[in-house]
Amino acid sequence: MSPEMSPLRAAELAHERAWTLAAEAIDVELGPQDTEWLDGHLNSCPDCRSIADEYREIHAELRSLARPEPPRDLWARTAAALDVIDAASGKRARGRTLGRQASRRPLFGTALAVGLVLVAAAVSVMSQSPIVNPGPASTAPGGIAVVAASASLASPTPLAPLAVVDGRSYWMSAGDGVYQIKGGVAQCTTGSGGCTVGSETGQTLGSISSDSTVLAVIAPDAKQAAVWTADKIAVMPLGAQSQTVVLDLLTPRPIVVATATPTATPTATPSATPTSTAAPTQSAAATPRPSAAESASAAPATPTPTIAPAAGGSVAILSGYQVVGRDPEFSADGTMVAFAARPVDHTTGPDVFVWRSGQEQARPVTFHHSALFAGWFGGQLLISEISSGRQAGGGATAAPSPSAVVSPTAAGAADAFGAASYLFDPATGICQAINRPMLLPAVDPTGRFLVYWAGTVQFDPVSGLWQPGSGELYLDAWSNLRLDPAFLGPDPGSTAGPSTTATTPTPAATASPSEAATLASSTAQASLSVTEAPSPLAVNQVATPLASSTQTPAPQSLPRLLPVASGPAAVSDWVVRWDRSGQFVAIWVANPSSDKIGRLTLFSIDSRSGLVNVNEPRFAAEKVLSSVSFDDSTLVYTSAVDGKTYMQSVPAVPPSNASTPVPTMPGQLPSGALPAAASAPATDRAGS
Amino acid sequence: MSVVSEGSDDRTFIEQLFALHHGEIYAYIYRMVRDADVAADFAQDTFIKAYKAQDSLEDRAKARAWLYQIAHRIVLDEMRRRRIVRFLPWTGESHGAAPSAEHLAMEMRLSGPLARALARIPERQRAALLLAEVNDLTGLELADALGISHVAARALLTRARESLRVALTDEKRQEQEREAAIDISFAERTRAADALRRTDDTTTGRPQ
Repeated sequence: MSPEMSPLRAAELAHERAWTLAAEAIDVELGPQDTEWLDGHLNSCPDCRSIADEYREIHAELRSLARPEPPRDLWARTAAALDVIDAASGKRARGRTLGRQASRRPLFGTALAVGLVLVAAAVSVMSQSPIVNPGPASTAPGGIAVVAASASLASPTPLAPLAVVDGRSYWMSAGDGVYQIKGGVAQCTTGSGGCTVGSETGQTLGSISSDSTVLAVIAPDAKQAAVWTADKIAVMPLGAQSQTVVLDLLTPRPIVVATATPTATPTATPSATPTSTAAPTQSAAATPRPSAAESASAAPATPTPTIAPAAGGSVAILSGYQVVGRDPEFSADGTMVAFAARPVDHTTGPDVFVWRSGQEQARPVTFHHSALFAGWFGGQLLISEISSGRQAGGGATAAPSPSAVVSPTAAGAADAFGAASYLFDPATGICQAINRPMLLPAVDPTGRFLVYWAGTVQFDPVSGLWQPGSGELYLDAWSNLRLDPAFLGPDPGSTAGPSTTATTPTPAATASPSEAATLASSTAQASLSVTEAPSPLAVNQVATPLASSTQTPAPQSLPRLLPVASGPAAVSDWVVRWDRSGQFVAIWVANPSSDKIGRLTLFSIDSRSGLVNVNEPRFAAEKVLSSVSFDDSTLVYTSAVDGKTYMQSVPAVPPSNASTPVPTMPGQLPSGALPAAASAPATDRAGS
Repeated sequence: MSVVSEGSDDRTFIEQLFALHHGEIYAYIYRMVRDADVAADFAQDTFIKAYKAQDSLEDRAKARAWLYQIAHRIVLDEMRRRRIVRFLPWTGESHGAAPSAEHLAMEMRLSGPLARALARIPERQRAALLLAEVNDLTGLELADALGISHVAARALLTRARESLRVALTDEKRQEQEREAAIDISFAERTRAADALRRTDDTTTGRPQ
């Protein structure tokens, strides 16, 4: 049936023509010649006839789809919004600013030009939010830059830049299936105080053609980009002489059964070298277990040979997989890309993949189908896993020591729910578990602090994923944590440490995933609490420098709950960004009803004492898109209100002259050398 | 199709458009995003943007395709920004654990193979197919709504039909495999329960 099987190219073309005509015949009446030819071909080609029949069946099935009914209050909501527009009459007034340039664009041009307007404005960091009045009239030196996206309907909602690197903005424009990654530096005119960078001035650095929606991130040096759709991830170079990457053709379409998903490369196993202090039992003999979906029916022993670097060095690093959770991210040196993905057919949960420059494919570094990519820390990965009693890196107990590696049956802890986070070094395969239950930790680049989430997770049967329900973000010091040897390798059962979750009060579970899976509802919940989580009262305490303290301050004042949400335990979707110095952390938290608009809060951390005044954030803004980033010491965020991107310089804060430096903890420290954080030794409860 | 009176003022015009088209616009968006709340938000956005931009509508007879165009762009733009799947992995599927099969059975109940196959094909193809088939746009309306030429729209539609056919074939095959897996899993558990009942006496050995 597939064209490759036809012996002759002419026959292939005939079949292809037949399929095309059969599909077209659904929509239009074919001419007499085409009709005659098609009938003749179908009579001689049973396969083609069956395909033509399928087209008609699908046609009938599509037409019979039930129509979803809109909610009853749709008009009330819409009318209310229209009233607001009428009352404000803002749509006319807005044109008086530089926004007028944007609104004059043709509303329905064929290209979705994403015009960007840069405006310099002066808003002191500590004063009002620039969203309030970003007008160019307030220009002053040292202020912030404002990037305004086009208000044109061609881009009906504000588009945030992909990144701002060294003052140069990068963004993506899209139209008619072609996505262009562009870059540009603001052109400033001294008179108006405004700076613009728009589709006219932006340089096209790469373009991608695809029928699927394309998303992208760019490397820290902006020399390459990772682009992905719902079923494919590719890496492409960025440059002035870029060629168009036809993403749909970069590999064989994964939905064709004969093309195996590429994950089934046994070589993908991380070396999983245990740390010298403790070797997880059984791991030495672990054989790579291909994580291919059942659908990957083709022989997976060799990498799919059809994946080859395409024009301009673009390479599809994984296909047949869907990115889950955080966006893919380049390592700081730009040589690696990491992300979590699961098969498009959802036959397994997600694993974390790493692609290294020069490799043809991304390779999985986790094998339990329950891992999430949290972020990079130097050349190491932070990975979170959620599991039902199998992995117990989290919890108030110690992570599973080799002696705690117990029976793979794990029956005794089947109901326990665990969420663990790991530090994984893809170069060595060394994996270390963080001894505190947390999800998606974000570590500052200097390795002193981290922000992580803890709360209640819920099983969402529609997506088949656990979703954060309600929770909080905490700031903690690395030195409060302990790292224990762990293993994320493919060996089934050898990592089972069910006893540790079973014997500790946290994480507590009210429902096991397996139970949840059998419930056709989203009521399943499990809670994940932080050891010694500060009470909400801690919010009201103003941290004071510990003058001439001889103690390490961080473990005493941390962890601290960060009051970043609109209410208690209201963090279910968030983004944490550290600046390069580790002195500022910007936290975006989604509004309860939205997954795209939220609240941005910037905290500064005293670089010496590690103290943060959580009651007085350095900056806060409402209705901000999630694409928050730092460009050196400039905070970049996009307002959902006016569609403008604000670049706000963040002034360095002189460190308090008190106290001792917070110790860093980028790697493993010997167990016991640090506060044990109320740890209890792991208990072996094999077979219970 | 000059159903909307020519002389009506802006607000009346948009209210008439809403009355005529909100159901089909919502249905289209819903089928694209597969989320009732998001679909409602986007449908509202569509009419708000139409209200703000109605000066750009030169021919009110083309208002329907114009509304679809606005909705289509909102959907595609949002899909670019939205994270497709946000967070945590589910935990089944490890080494013979049954939850995966059960979970998949549950997911299957929530959406038929056609809906899942539709969700798998590229967004622009899905949009073309839905607009043409489910929402009954004519060829010219389709091209307008997609913002591309008539020829390009037809080619997109043809690609979409082939993608959907392949995806649907695959979905149906997987469904059979999952059902088989569930049967096996059920049979195994029944056997286990039977074994338990045999070894146990009378009180605790009840199969679930």
